[in-house]
Amino acid sequence: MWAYALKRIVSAIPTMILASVMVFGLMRLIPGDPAMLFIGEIDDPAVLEAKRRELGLDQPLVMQYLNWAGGMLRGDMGVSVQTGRPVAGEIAAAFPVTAIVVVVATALAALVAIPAGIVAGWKQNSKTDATIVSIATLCLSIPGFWTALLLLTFLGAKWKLLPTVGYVSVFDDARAGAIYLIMPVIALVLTEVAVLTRMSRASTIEVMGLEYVTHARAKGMGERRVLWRHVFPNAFAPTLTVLGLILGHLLGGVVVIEQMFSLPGLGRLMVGAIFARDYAIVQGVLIFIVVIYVVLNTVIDLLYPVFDPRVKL
Amino acid sequence: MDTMSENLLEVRGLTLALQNRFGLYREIIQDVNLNLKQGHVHAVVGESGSGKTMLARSLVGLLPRGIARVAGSVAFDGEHLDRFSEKDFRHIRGPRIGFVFQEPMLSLNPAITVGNQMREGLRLHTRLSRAEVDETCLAMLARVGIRNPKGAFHAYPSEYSGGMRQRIMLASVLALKPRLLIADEPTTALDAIIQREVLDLMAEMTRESGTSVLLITHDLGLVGEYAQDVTVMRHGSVVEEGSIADTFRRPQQEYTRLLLAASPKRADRKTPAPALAPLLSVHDLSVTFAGRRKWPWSPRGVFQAVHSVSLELQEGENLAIVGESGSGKTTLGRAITGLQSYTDGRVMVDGVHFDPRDRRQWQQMRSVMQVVFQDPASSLNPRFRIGALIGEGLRHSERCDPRETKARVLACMRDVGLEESQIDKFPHELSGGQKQRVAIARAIIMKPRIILADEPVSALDLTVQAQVLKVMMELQEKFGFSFLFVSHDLAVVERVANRVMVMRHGRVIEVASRDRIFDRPLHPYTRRLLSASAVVAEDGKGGFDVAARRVPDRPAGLEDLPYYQDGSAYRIAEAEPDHFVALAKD
Amino acid sequence: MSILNRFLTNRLNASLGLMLISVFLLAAILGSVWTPHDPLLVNFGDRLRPPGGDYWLGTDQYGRDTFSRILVGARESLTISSLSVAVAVVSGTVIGALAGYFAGLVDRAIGTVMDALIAFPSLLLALGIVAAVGPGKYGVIVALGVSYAPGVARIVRATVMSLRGRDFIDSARALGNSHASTLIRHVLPNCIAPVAVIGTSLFATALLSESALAFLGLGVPPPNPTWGGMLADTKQFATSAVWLVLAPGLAISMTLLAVNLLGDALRDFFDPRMEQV
Repeated sequence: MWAYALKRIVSAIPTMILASVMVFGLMRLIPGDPAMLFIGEIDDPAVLEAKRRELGLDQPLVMQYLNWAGGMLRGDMGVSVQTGRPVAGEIAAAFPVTAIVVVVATALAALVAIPAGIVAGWKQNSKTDATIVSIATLCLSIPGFWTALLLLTFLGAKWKLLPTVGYVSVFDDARAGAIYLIMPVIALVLTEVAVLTRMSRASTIEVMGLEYVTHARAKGMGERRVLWRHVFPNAFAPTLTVLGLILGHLLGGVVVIEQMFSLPGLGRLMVGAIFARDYAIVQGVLIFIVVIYVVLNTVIDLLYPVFDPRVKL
Repeated sequence: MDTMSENLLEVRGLTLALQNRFGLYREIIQDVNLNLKQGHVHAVVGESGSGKTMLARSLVGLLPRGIARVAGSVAFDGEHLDRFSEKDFRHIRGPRIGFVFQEPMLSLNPAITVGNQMREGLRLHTRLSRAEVDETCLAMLARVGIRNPKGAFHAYPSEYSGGMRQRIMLASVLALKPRLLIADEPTTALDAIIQREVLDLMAEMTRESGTSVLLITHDLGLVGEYAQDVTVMRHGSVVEEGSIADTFRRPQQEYTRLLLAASPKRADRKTPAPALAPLLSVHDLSVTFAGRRKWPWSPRGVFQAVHSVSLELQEGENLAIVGESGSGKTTLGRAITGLQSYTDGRVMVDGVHFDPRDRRQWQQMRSVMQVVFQDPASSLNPRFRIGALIGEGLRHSERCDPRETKARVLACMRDVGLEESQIDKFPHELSGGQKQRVAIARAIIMKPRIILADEPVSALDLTVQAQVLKVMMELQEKFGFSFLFVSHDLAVVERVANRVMVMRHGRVIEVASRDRIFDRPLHPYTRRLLSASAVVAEDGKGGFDVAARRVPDRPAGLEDLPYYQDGSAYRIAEAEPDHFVALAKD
Repeated sequence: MSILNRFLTNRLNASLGLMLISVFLLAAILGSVWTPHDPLLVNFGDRLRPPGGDYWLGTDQYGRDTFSRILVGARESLTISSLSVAVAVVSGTVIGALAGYFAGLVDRAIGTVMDALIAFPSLLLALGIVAAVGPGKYGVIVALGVSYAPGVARIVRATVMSLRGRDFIDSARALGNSHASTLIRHVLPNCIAPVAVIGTSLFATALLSESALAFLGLGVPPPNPTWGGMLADTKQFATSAVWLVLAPGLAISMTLLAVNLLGDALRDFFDPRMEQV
């Protein structure tokens, strides 16, 4: 068990290193000299050279990467060109906003979708099933940013039920904060509910067809008990891994949603930085989200054996 | 209705049908009658598609979706099950009719501990207290021979082997003391020796508790040994029903006779004259698989699948490699043909070393060695037509023009007994036997001198198996190739082999001519393996005797050899001329 | 034709999906040869006209005809999505097949790179790539293609691994096929089904991401219309000109619905276990 956990954790390290190389390389692909961005319009080779030396750009690429990666490990992610503030600080300020949206959306998706999927799978081919599947397919076909736009247009601007601009952190004022979360979370979660519902339906159907379920019936157990004791625990484990996938979707989707609702989260930070060519921020946010994503997926993998004793290694 | 007192279960005119949503249906079993006597073991025997499993499931109301009873009645213990609702069935299932399924690996829930799964039945159907329930479970686990029942109680099913799981199943089903136990191919997934142990246990325990058994099986040997009565089914109908003595000794129906006669029996085989040099010789072949590391820094464990095996095969000879699962027999065969790389040893063909890593040699060897795999459903690429499948080997060896290729394909199809019109079919359009004929045709079109046949008939029904074996022997007669015949089925081996090599845990246990192995086996393991198999013998009067194989005593002087056992040092020695056996190194 | 028949029989969803997708394909083709108005023509006299009359779906804040822009946008959105899926499917299949077939060191090397790519949420990876190579049609295609390739590779690898355990691969080797010909003749054709299924679902994802990128202003640069871009352009006018929000949004949703229905039907078709009885 511990060997498995340790192995799983250790195996995430090369992934992270390679991912950081990719982020670093990606930013080096950009034409132009990063030092130019700092000095702006000053047309003086000496100043440029000084800035290049200050930023370490005169060193070979490998050294540049090592310096950068070393800085990352110490929590030094460089300085934003736009604000002149440390990137780490900007990320630390934006992260709670993104985190709260993603966490609420994930929880909501799980709470709605897993029961819906299990019921649909249990009653396969019934009217209930058809209804759930149709709704899910429909939700799957509505882009989050369009939902967001519709919500803003109707709930926000036309009917004035919810505020369309501004943001209050739930940590400062729970009630007001929650109100600002309603629309972003709905816009973000519909697609994921659909994905998760279909997934949990599929795994329920698969488990329902297995022999030990028939065996449970052959013992004289009622349908409900069979479902609860034999189907649910086994259908849940594969659904859990899909949660990892969903997290990935959410971390991507939140970029657009934050932009829509002007939430000061990581996505907005990054998109703004792309437009401002503030690559230290882009790099920082990318690497930060990768770390979060890899850590969460590792945790999910480590949780897997808890729900599926076959994987006890 | 005086028969009711005698019969625990009476099925009358039962008809099941598959219905689709338009209401159209196809009958799966028609007008089936069955009488199961109180306290008897009653076997339902039939080949695949006979409807025996659906019959069994319908008795407890566990038919798959889409299949329904359309006619007939089922009387069990004075009650009419055909009038039962799902809820009524729930009270029958478990306490009155227990059900054991075929696949012990699948029928226990992997996510629930053994103890909790055993408790379920007792908690549902008895009023025992928690402590009493646990006590009963532990007693049952001990009864079925699980070491450390307390430990098993808290363990998950995945920690047990197939045989052990089937014991656990028996324990949990019989804990409720049902009046009837339905066992659907309960040991088909298990090795012969373990199968024997589990069935002995089942017979013993049901006798103790007075439970009747409905044993669903395809294995006539088991029927002959464990059942008192038998119902023979075919294509969804009952062919014949009666006591074993009547039905097997004096079969009334042609199909019953056919089925019994299809069991492979020893036939005279001419032994090829020993040549100066063997066609194939294998020296000290070892195959190891790398295991997993426990920790990243700990050394990789190794699993040795084949331990330094040597063998020789003469031109035109059939050497059978026999063993249970995990014996290394399949790995050995694959290593010889070059499909599996080996860690040590040499393979020589006609005295020339064959190195499968050499690409040219590999190509050349294809016209020397060919392979027929176990399951034709998996060995034939589903996307190819029969003609392309059979002709495929020619693409790579000699350059054949399309007309010549087609002519050779057709000739091969005739040789294996396929219709010419089947050349454009896809594998899924053929029956299992026909598919295996395609697989054989695919091999012989290359005109090989050696064919490795890896369990070539074990996926087939008995009657089909007999036909395919016959074709294989006729082809051998015609083309004169040698067979390396890998099998777990002793009856098949007895039918086809000249010589037999018994393997266990990757080691050779015993090698001798077929008659020596079957008539005077030496090694204790060979003897155990033989005694776990059954023999169907014709009695010369149109009837059949089915019984466990009697293993003759060892010849004088060979009783007390230091036979090799697990863990002792290993050597192989010639106990008598041309009879080799594994001994412990002293 | 018989396969198509077999595919469509008893599948209402498949027929519906196929019909819808044909409509949009026709629209895309139509859009490249004829539109009722010039989609790029700015005409402030006719700005924010509601649907009806000369402008079937109204006009935007520059007086450009929405219907014409939807038609042209169909071409842009569908070509970008299908090309990026093509990039993902081709590269993913090659990589996955190599990793699955040769296993061992090749597999581990490829696996590490794929793991690193999968460690990025795909839209974020695409954003990063677009940030690096710059927005524009080809930037988006490369970005989406690269971020979806690991998913395809993973599935092809799993399929190939399971095929490797099947006897017909060994059987092909035993008949003298080289590794290359075994891989091409026997392994790859059996990957068509899963690749078709994932390709279809990726098409939906690609369309969605392309729209999202365009919506963020990182897709095809204006004035060329894309559905996502049209939505983004008209954000401020949403309350006064609802059709500007509805038309492109519905176009995206209907296409996604068509693709999803088609994808489900394909999955059922290839995997009879999940088929609705």
